Amino acid sequence: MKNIALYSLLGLLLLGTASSCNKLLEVTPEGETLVEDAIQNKEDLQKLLNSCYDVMANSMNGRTQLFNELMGDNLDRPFNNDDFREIYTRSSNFFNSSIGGLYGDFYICVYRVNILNKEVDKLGDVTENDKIQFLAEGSFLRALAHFELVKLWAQPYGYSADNSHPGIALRREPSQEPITRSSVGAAYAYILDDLNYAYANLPDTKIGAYASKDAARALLAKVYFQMNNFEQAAKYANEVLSNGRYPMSSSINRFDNDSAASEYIFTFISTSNTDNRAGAFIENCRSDNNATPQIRLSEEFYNLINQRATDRRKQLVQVANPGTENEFYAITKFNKDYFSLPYLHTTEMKFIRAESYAELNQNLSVAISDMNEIMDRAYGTGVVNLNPGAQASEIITAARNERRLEFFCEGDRTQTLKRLGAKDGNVQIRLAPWNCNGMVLQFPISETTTGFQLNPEGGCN
Amino acid sequence: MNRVLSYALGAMLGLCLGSTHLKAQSVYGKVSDEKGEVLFGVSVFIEGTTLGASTDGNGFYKVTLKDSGTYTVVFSYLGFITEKEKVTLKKDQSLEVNKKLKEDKQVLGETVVVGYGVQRKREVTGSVTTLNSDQINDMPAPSFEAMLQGKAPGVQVIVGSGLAGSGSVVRIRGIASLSAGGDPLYVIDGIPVTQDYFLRGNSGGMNNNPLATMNPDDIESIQILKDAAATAIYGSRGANGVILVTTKRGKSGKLKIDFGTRTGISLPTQRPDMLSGPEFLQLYQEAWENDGNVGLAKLPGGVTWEQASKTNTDWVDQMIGVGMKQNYHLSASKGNEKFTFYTNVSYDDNGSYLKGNSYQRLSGRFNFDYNLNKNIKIGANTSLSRGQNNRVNAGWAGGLGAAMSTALPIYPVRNEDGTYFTGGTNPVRTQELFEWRTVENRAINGVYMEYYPIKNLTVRLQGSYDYMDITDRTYEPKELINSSHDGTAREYPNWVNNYNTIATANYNLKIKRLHNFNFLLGSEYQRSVYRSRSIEATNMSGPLWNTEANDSFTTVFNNPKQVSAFLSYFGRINYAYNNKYFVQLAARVDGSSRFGINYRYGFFPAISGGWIVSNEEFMRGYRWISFAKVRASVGRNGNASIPNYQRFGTYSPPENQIQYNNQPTTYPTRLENPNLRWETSLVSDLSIEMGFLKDRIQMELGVYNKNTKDVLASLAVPKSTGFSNYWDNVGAIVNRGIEFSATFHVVDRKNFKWTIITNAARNYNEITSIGVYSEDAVSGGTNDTRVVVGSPVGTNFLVPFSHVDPQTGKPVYIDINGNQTTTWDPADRIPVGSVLPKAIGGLTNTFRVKNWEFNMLWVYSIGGNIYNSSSKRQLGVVTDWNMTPEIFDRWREPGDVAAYPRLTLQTQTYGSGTPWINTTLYLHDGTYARLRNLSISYNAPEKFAKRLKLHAIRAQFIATNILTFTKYPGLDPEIARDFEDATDRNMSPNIVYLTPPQEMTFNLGLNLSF
Repeated sequence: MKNIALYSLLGLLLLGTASSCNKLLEVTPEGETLVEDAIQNKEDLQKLLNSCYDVMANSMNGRTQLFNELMGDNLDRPFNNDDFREIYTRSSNFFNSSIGGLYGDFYICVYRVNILNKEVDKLGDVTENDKIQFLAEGSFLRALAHFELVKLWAQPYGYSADNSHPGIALRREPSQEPITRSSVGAAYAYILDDLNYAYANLPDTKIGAYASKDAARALLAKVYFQMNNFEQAAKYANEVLSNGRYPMSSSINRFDNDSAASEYIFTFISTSNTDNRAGAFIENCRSDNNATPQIRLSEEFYNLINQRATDRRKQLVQVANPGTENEFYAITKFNKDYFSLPYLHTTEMKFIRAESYAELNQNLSVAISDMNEIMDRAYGTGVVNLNPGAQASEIITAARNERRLEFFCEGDRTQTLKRLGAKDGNVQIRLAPWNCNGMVLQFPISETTTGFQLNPEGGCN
Repeated sequence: MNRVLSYALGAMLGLCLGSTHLKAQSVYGKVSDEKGEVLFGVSVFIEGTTLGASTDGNGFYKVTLKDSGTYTVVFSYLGFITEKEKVTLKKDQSLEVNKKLKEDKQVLGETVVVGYGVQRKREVTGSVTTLNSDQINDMPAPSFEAMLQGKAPGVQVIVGSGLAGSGSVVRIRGIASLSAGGDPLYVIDGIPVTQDYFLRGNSGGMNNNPLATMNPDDIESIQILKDAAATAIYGSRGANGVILVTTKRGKSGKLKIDFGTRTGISLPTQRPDMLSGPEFLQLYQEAWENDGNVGLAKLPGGVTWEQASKTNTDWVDQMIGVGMKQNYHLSASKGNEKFTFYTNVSYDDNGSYLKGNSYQRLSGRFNFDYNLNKNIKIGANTSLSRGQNNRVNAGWAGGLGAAMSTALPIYPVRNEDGTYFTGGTNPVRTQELFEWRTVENRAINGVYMEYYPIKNLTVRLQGSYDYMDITDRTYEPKELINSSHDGTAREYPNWVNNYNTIATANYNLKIKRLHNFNFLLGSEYQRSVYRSRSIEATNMSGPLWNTEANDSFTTVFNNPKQVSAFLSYFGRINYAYNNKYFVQLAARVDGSSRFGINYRYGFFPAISGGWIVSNEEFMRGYRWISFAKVRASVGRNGNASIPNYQRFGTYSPPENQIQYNNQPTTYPTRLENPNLRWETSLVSDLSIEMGFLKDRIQMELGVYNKNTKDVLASLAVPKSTGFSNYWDNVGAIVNRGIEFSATFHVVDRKNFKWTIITNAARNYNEITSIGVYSEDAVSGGTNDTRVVVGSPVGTNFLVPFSHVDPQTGKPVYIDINGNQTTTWDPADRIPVGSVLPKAIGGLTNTFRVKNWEFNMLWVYSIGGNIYNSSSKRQLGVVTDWNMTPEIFDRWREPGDVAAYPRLTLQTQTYGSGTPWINTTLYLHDGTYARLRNLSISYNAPEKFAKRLKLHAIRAQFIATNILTFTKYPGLDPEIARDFEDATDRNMSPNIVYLTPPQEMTFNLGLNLSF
């Protein structure tokens, strides 16, 4: 009897656990969605696309612009941020977590777009038109990410005659395999492929917050301009300006959303101060509520913008703590709680068209008109203008000078100098050659896999 | 029947022998135990001669003697008390001497807790170190595991820091993991307890210590299981050793009441020495001028020279005081044939030397066992404890860390108008305004039932519940956060519910006296559920522990629940032959929810054997060897201590709050790895245990080898994949080493006893593969400890510093090609130094003179390096950090030969864009010897105690960490910094970063037994 009881007990114990063992160990995460359940329909795909905009907006929240700017000549040494100082001294290394963070965010966008491309064919409720729209928006965002990546992490287009110099990792599909860098030429070709697809397939209407054919046009103009391909740059800038959808605003501060929105072609949207897509600008530059902002202007730039008494853009800078040991040149351009960030806008298109036409020595009257419109806004109507018969070289000089004043802290200056270095050579940036090693950021340490070529460091005095 | 047979055989043997030695005298007979069971292999010999014999399978012996006379016959058998009998033999006489031997309770009775049971110590075939309550409770410590230091060979204990409640890093036979938990498995009364060090990350420069609420007074013994034979029964989780904690239970006898109290003070082992205000100004100005500037330097924090010259704040003084300690405990125990119980209540207030920092623990325990009838026994153990850590910031987070870094001596505590200075770091302001408490409520409870259905069979069912509730509460008043409204209170509750059920059946089978079998079969299921929440309440006039929050200003975020589960089946067979030969086979199958269906289960077998050589006949001539045993084992164990759900590819939750342009989003959050599987180690061990001169000297020497493969790693994948990290099984690690321990009873007289206990160990550790990944794929973060094939886990991976250029004063480094360079390039990093010491150990001396006892524990570590990660700022580019006086040995002018380079405010002078550069300049020899514990005790004479109606009175003086010998130039050679995650904890045990030194304590104690 005892034995029967014993064996029964043992049997029950073993059975009790063994029969349900896998069930006991099947634990799935809460608060997350499993991959297989995530993208079930068009609505899910739209959410995924929204997340691509979201991560791109965060990448362009000032970080990209300021990292570019830090390598140039508009800024002084950052207050005390070591990561920023490394960029400023053009000696970044692969430990710089701010650089690594930005680099990773761009590729998160690329990954999500690649996932979107993969998933779009699997869903029953996605029509062919829907599919094209998804793919086109994704292509636009992927091109944008690759464009900003190649500008920051590689020497500019034209650095080598055939652009075979190292570019970036080009991710065409979602994969965990480490890959090596493609050439800059290949990177630009990929960017243009994506943009051409976007251009061909996006709706030709004013949208603003999302990718449109105009946004693709404007980005194509920007990319070609960076490649010193003035013909194509002028073509696309002209296309977008000609349709009259984005009249230039009268505001000197493009980041004042209330007064400058008319000229926004593509914007990263902030909806409130808790959904702020200009965080890095505000955190690092804002000077009305921060005694020690990280980002300060160089004395040279401050004097430049104060060169002409009538320049209304002076309002965007000021001397902080004048006459004291702690005097510095502060930026007032971003003194807001939050704002939407115009990435593509009429002012830039006008600059591109004017300089491109001048470089091509074509349509100079249009170029002069574009420049005068910008200068009228800055200095007052007719105060500082190009003559109607101005030469191409005068237009180019004016465009480059005004461009620096117009876009300070927006990352444009450094890329302009690098572009010109690639085009003309003999460009110095803060006493260093335009193509010295430190003028490109170092890749994050995670990229140090077999075959991945890091950027050489140093060499910028 | 047996008896008849044996006599018959004996007679036959006697006849046989007699026929060949007709004229000889002899002694013969039978040896049995007290119950009359014959004993095989008993050594029977004639004292003073080499004559002797062993009993045969029937317990029979015969010793033949040439001459008649009087002899002393000695009966010796391991585990039994040696008996002597004087006999007088006449010529040709054969004398029958039968003997019944009594078991030696001290030897046979000494048992060792092993997984799911106990074993006789002599029969244990695995490597187990046992510490009893006296050895554990001999000194105050922040947490019980710190008390293991220096007491067990091969067990490295690095006490975290001087912070109250600080945890220790415990490494058993090195480290075999990269990102999976590298700590041993802690099992308290059979319950693998929750031991997550990162529930609160490293907030405040400290990891939470899940063992801090354990009351050391409750501990009866600790067994440290080290090799595969010992840990196999915990197969899946024994890769880094197992620490079994057994709490006290009642014993048979009268009611016993013990009361103890201890009070003491805490001071730092060494006080940080920082530059004074004038010194800082002088050096800052020198750096300014070295950089080619003229005039007065721009000072950090916007302080003017006039203000700075008038200020000389010693921030270290502001942070350090004298900590007060007090401890009280009262316990009672009683037992009889029907039941036993043990209960204890204790209060411990453990103040550290950091002002405002203390750990208060109130704990209670009740353990009981009850025999329902002769077939069923039930019992329970329950402990409730509440630990309140009155927190202060430390390390990188501030407090003393700030006093050693960015709190400059030129900053005042307060402005002239009495308000706090806010221009730069002011840790006093933070400390006085910022309120912070971490409260942990912990209940570890278990119930069991043992059923004895037939003789020698025990069926045991056990259910346990380990509840852990840690809540961090902070309060920042409006003055601190510069807010127009009232302050902000935050609360971060964490709950871990850990359920465990075990069913085992244990059967003893004895075949005659020769063959002893023990069979164990069991299964175990463990499920752990973790919940957490964060609450932020604004407009608060006080912290949430005493102020009610207004709902309209309160946001609550519930984190998703996390669940993990283990299901295990195990079996063990122990076989002992004639108390001389022992074999153990153990196997365990473990399933873990952390692995996918294809790799869910791991199989962890082990085989081991032991041989008590001293029981052999051929050892009889070596009377000075009282005990000799050889044991060996080989087996496999594993590790699954990784974060939950890493095998799943996931997206954000459907209801996630991330929107773009007010539109919902969904996005991938984790890469899928369905092939994630167990990290496994193949472990082999060979050990010798020896006793000499009646065990006056006892020694143990062991060697081991552990090959770990499929190492679980949180890999830094290329960010261009769209992710940063990915869990995978990569690489391999080898650990091998040697351990030695010895006890010398140097003097053993009634009124004077002197005992020396010592141990030493050396571990060799090497990463033998890291797959396709680079050194930086798994890293100890900012500490620059990396995975380098051919080097130990967490080797320091640094740019070599060569010298200071006497002409320029610039630092000169060695590049990857061996050339000198003034550019610091991380591509030039190489593995350097020794993350693991060449040897660790301890030495205890105990003197007992009449009623006095004097005890000293020295611990030492030889040959390891310490990387002082704060030196790069304290002795590097001049920034907004204060510096240490070593900087006085710096380059000043051409021709100077100096330890440190020229002062500069520009990072480029040191060849880098950042002051955060790690070089070998800050890697130091961490060899030390430390008087860990010094105690003097007085046991009052029994008569005196009885006069006070007490059983015993004991008074003690205990001092800890009062002497340290080291060449390490930093604060304390025996600390480790806070860690970012488990990988960092595994990889950076030799790093300090503004870490508070350990405490030195002086204590008085009194124990009374009623």
